[in-house]
Amino acid sequence: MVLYDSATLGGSCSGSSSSSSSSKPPPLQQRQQTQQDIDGLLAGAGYRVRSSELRKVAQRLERLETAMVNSPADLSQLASDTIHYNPSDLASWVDSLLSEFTQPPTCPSEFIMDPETNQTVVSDAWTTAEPHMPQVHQNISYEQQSLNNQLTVDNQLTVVTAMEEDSGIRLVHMLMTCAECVQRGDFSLATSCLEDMQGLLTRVNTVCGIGKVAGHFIDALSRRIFQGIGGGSINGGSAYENEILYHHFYEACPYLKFAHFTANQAILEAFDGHDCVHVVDFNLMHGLQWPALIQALALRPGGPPLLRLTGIGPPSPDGRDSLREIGLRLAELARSVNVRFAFRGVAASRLEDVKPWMLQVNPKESVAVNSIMQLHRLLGSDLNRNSPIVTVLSWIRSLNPKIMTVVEQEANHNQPGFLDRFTEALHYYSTMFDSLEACTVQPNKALAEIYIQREIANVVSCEGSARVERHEPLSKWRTRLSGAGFRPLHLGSNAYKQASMLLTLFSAEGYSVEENDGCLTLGWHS
Amino acid sequence: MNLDENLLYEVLKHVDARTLAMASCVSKLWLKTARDERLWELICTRHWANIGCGTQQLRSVVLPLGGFRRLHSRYLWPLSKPQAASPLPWAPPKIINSKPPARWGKDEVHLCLSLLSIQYYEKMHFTSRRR
Repeated sequence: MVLYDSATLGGSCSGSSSSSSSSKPPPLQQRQQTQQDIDGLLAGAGYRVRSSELRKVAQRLERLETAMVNSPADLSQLASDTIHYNPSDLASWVDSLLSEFTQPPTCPSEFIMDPETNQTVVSDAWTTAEPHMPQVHQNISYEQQSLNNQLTVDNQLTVVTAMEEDSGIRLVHMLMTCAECVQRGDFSLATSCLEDMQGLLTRVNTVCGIGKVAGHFIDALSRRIFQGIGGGSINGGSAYENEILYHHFYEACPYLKFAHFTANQAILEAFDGHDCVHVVDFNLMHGLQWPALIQALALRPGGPPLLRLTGIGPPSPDGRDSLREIGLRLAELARSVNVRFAFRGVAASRLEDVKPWMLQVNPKESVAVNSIMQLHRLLGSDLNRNSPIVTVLSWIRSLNPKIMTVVEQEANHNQPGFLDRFTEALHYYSTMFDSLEACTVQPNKALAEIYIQREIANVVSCEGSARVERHEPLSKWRTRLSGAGFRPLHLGSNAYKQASMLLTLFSAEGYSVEENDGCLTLGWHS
Repeated sequence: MNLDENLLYEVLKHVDARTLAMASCVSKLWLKTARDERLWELICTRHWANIGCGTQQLRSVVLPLGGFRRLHSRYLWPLSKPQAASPLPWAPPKIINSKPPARWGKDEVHLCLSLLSIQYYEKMHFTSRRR
């Protein structure tokens, strides 16, 4: 995550920005004791201003600037005749200066704080080049025109943006501190940290960037602290809900499409020359992966094989047989392109509950096992010989499949230490959210974000069997799979080309496909 | 009138995609003729690499899934437009003088066909869900 490496602050806070990276925020205990805490960042530059007065001071500085600009005659007098005491006490210094001027204050009517949406609009006087938050800039011209008429000169104007990037950095620091408290078991400190962060959130743009991600992490942390591990899971959403969220995530960004297309390419190549083929899908959802495979098999030189599809999914509680419905759709599609097709649904709430006999694999057919982000759910906390992953991998092996396609998140979210996990997740999901922003605007995005948010909540606020989002990096999967008797199959250049083309078609900036010793990775960078 | 239609069809067999699309704006008769799937099949297959399957086989897949005209306008055409994105190793040859698009390679064609099938499936899936 490189959001803040090149952060610069203009205006009168430039001094403090350079010192902010080197000075640490004041220790939490001190801040709790002092009622009126001095702003740490300005303190680094030599000014003592109370955090509660920051807005007032900023406003007055602005007025002072306007006054000075408007009356150059008084300026010279100010420079030579007036005596000012204690300039480091910025608040009173500004007040005393202002009293020297007789003109009524005229403030530029461009500063707005919208309390409902927690969105701040930046005006040119305070803004800097902020390439990391383009959305805020877009708001400027629009808001200025509509609100200029409404504003009157009053004390309601507030300016926060120069503080905003500071707040962003501070949020990250506080998140880490809070996580560390949680790891140590110091929940009272963690709670007060949470409260501070909630307060800080109101001063940060939560529509995009670090504010949004931080909000989700703060939620997850509070779940963990107040509801305890396991009770905090929001995975209790119904299967139907999960399917909808998954579908929106599929539409909003290229990750799942990339997964499906690449896996299909590998399966197609593996099935070359075989007349009876059987695909086992570990998570059917809406079956979006399979129309393309059916179509590709239909166009195979020599004609399509007999295709059997076994779809595994959670049972539907309300009497609907969602697996069967999906099967029927796929069958209809297969029928219209003349592919002999048979579908079987296996309802299981957990993958480890599935037994190989349920799949009814015929010894004469070629089997492909397809797992899109399912295997990591089996990595329970105790990885002994009989852990679910070992069992499942061994029965997959016993089916003797022609190919097994595995898609997983490239992240290290299964470390035993909470703080390490938290840090990793913060980096990973910040980038994930940024990558989502980079995609073309769609109505799907909000629900796609909820999909990601659920993952975050699971990684941060759950433990034990409730924590299912146990992502592990590629190297670990390689070891695990070869240990279970699988030999790596290199994805051909077709898959790479297809993935690159896919990205072009969906015109997403910043995405890139990489080849890693036979595996393809889809990544995003700012 | 019948003769006009057939003559028009014969003429349109030789035009490029852009012209064919524009032809459908002339009149109702032209619209009907220019939308003929066989014409769009010619447009598609004229410039794409041999994907290994027979014509009949291709038709039996593409027509039920939405047809050649849709295949071209939604997927083949956008894919062939020069993109402003970062250069890719497989970059198609540049289009000169806005002539008919260059050859679509096997991978491009397969990708477009896959997308067509997904789109068909999604429409079918969600229409029936509302019942």
